[in-house]
Amino acid sequence: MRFDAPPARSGGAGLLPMINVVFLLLVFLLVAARLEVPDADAPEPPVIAPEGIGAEDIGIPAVVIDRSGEVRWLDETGAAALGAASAACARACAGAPLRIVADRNAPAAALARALEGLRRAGAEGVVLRVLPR
Amino acid sequence: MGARGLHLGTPPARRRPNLTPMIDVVFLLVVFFMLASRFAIEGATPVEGAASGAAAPWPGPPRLIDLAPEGPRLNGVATAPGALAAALAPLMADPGDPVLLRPAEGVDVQAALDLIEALRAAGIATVLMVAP
Repeated sequence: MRFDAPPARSGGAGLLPMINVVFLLLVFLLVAARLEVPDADAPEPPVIAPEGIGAEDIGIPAVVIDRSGEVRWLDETGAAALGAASAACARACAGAPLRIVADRNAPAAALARALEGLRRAGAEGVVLRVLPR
Repeated sequence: MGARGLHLGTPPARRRPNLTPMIDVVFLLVVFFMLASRFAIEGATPVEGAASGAAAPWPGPPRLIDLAPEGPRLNGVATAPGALAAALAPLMADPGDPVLLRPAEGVDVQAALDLIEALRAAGIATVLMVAP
């Protein structure tokens, strides 16, 4: 008695749509996602209604106001940070505003002092990073 | 080989490449990106500080909002946040006239921004922050 060879299994063909979808997902995630190093100390930006949010031009690194109200820009702190950021922005921002990343729980007085300091230092436009509510 | 001819048998089925390792890796990549990536739309909103000793004269009557933890005070008078825009209207000749916002110690950035947002929604475009 002779049997024919069993037909080749066609399991691979059924997988193709799934592979297509998974690859599409992968490409979407690669293009649309933003990877960031987790930082527990990173300031949480305040939230406002989406209508009030504009695009964030990236000129130079942002001035950071942490939860305690301390102002930092790169390695500088306090008034020196504001002066250095303002001078750097005058050289390199090319019309883009200077950015502040302030923690939503930081003292508003610290933000007001920073804004006054930046204005005194000659910063033209200042924007605050925010998240949609 | 003989009268019956050469019998080579059924040709073997073509071997497909094994897709399982690739699918495993791609799924791992998808899971990694889904867990590690952020999709929140970050943006920016303009903020301004007042310039001490500014050369330009102040337009119109004083418009100073003191923002304390217990609520805002307009020119020293306690005013509900929702009534600020209406209280400011008679003090402004133009919607572009500046309003000073002085947050007290103990007020956080979110509270100050909420007030600025409410004033902007009421058509008051220029809110200058001053330090206490």
